[in-house]
Amino acid sequence: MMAFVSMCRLLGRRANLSRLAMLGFVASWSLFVYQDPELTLDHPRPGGLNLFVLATSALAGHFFAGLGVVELQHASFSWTLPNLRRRLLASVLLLGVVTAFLLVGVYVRLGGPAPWLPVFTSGLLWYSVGIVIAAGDVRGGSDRPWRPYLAATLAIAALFAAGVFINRIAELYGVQPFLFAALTLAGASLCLFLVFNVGAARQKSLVPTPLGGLGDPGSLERAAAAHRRTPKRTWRLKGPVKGLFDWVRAGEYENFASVRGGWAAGAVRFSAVAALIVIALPYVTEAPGLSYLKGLMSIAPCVPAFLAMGYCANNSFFLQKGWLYPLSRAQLARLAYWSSLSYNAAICGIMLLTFALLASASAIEERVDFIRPLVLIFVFNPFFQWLRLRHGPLFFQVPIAGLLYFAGGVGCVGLFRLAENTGMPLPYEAAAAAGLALLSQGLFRYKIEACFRTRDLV
Amino acid sequence: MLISIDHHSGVPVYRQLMDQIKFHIASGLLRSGEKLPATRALSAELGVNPMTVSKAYGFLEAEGVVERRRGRPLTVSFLKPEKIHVHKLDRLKQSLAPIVAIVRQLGIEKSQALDAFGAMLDDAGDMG
Amino acid sequence: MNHNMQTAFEVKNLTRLFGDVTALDNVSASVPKPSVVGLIGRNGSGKTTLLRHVIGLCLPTSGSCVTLGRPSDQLGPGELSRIGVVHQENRFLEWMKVEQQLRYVGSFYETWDRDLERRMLDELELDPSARVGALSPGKAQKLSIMLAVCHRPDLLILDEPISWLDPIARKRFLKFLLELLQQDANTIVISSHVLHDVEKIINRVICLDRGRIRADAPLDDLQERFAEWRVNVKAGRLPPRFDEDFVRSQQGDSYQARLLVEGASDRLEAFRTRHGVDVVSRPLNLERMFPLLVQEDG
Repeated sequence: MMAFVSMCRLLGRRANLSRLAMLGFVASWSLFVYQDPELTLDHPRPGGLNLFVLATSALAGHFFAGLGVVELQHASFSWTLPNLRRRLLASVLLLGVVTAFLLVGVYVRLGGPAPWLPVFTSGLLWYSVGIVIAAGDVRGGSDRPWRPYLAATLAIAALFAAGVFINRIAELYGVQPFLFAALTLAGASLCLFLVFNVGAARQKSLVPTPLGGLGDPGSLERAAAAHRRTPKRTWRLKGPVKGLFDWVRAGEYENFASVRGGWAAGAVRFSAVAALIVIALPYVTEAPGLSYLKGLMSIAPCVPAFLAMGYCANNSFFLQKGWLYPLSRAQLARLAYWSSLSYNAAICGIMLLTFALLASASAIEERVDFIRPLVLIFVFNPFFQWLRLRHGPLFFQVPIAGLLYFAGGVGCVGLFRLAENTGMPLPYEAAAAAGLALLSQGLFRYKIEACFRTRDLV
Repeated sequence: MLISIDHHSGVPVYRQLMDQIKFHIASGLLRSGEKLPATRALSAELGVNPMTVSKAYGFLEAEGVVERRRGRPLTVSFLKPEKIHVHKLDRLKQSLAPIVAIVRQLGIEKSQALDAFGAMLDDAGDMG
Repeated sequence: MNHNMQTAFEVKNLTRLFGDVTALDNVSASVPKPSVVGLIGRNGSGKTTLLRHVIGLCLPTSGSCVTLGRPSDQLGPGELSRIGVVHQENRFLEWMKVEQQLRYVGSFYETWDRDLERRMLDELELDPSARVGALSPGKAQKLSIMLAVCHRPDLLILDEPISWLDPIARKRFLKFLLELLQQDANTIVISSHVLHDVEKIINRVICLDRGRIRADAPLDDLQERFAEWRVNVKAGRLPPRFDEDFVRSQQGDSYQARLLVEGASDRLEAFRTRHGVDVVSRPLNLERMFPLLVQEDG
């Protein structure tokens, strides 16, 4: 009972609201958008429905059950609690069954083609896979830092492959319902065993090391990082740090000197991957049997916007919080503004360059527009940078952040469509974008200044 | 001049300093005209706050035990023998106060206590 | 006359609320320059919060705080580079080596003392090539002390600076503090509940309890104000309770009693004759005085 109550408490946190938003987004996306483009919203097609069960249950497993289990199971006090493991398992199972049951209900109601039993058990399987992914994230420890990455890569690969092949598999469900029910159940049991066996429960990787405080959620990760990272650059500036530019440099050093190649290399790598995804999309949708992926093309401008927005939001050149830098509050505010603006501009520049290079190399006809989404960075990112300043690096757990993120991405597409459909001339469009950007930047600057004037800096 | 400070006795450190300097003067270890260590040197040596040392020196100066002339180190003042004698007696009384309490508590007669004290003084004298 | 010259910081009627919790309740204190202040108090008494207000990291709900002659919310580079802080929790860039961290933070200040840095590394036995994130808690604390001290600040704020240090490291650390005091005549504020070590160096005590100031006085004064009286009966019995208003706590039987008294040195004789008792008065050290300081009056 105790474990169940604690699970429910974990589920009821505010942070889960943004996860719920993400879940809803993915669910509705897979139901309504991820399908043949000529279909309307009223008639979702099997492809979307099959994916809907997979994606929704995996996300529910990851974000709701998985992260909760990880938090409970790997805290220092949990080892000594009697029967915690068994009770946790029971409540996780209950949540999984309820989720899968609801999903099957939707599936059958909307006319999913496969028999309900294998769909139900595959829902359980993907739910368990979600839990494994969540658990894999924290099981690195300083001695095996590659493990979370391996787990994440495998999981993403599996989900991607499953997304591509799900309809074939669902056809097989219809042929051998009982065999597939048994297989998926076995898979689910294996996944749950991976997470809930004694050896796994003994690992207390969430127990903070004495290096970081208990109240610092990033301390574990940073402590582990400290072991493996070596500073790639030394601080060159000898004399006293003076002026805005020096301090932006100092912030850049604090944030990126431990990363190989600094911020630029990271941005290049990231934009290369992003560009490849976007560029490869038309080719993928041409492949036989994958035609239902064409739906993705309709949201193609969203993809660079989402990627760039997420990437820019997660970092900045701004100094780490809480030190007593010899800077007044007004100076800190100014620095915070210019650090994030220059970071956004730098990342956008690199992305544009990479996109342009790769796009010209690939010589495709159906060009995806990169410039428009990147311009929108300057409209939307101030909000994320603001949330990041206010709530720290884990700001994505703030409910509004997730909502804003999706609203930003979707709003992007809407704006493009609007511009396309109304046939707005380019200068007007540019002026409108600049106006929006100026407005949001001004608001950001105003908020930052107010924040540094009136709030505690700890 | 050997001074030892007990930081945890609860006696203010400046008082401990004053008492011990006065004791050294009374016992003749510090003679009149002799220099006292500079504030910083003493505080570094004893590991006490320099402000405490200057406070002790200040009080000693006010009592006329030491004197400072412009641009010169602090020196022990010239004290008349009678005055030194008074110092000595004060000091003795101060140390004897707890003894008196014990004598009372144990219910020892005054004459017996005096005898014991006298005998111990004799013994100590023989040793010397 | 010149405010700036006389006080390191001055807090006036400072109140700070965190939601419903009153962290600081109408606190007023003024710390002259130079001095070494022990900020003492139990866990959660508001020590850290007060210090954060002094250095301008926190802002008061009401009241004011002036540090180095400037309101603490308006401290600029000039004042801030004359302040050194050891935070209660260590804040580093974990991936740096010790020497890189020192070099980096050192570049913020014009007054960074390379020589002092070298000596401290040596005496505190810190390896300059050690990774900051992998330091033990004690070594990490040494590093954060160095980062706070090496630019020779005029106002040094130490929030629980020695809790992780071993006795020998504590001794060396106190030695460095004394050295700083002698050379620069600056002001040091040490918040701690390890009273034993703090007592050696401070000359002033600010005692906080539940967000209120319980004492703000020179240590010497406090030591002279409080005392322990051992009371022995001469004849008859002692009264069950001594009802003098200077008696703060008492225990004992009808023949002997131990009283903790406040501000009673000139009333010793009267007490003796009134009760017909022998009294031996002994001073209290900070550790024994502390419960009396935080005790509610009456």
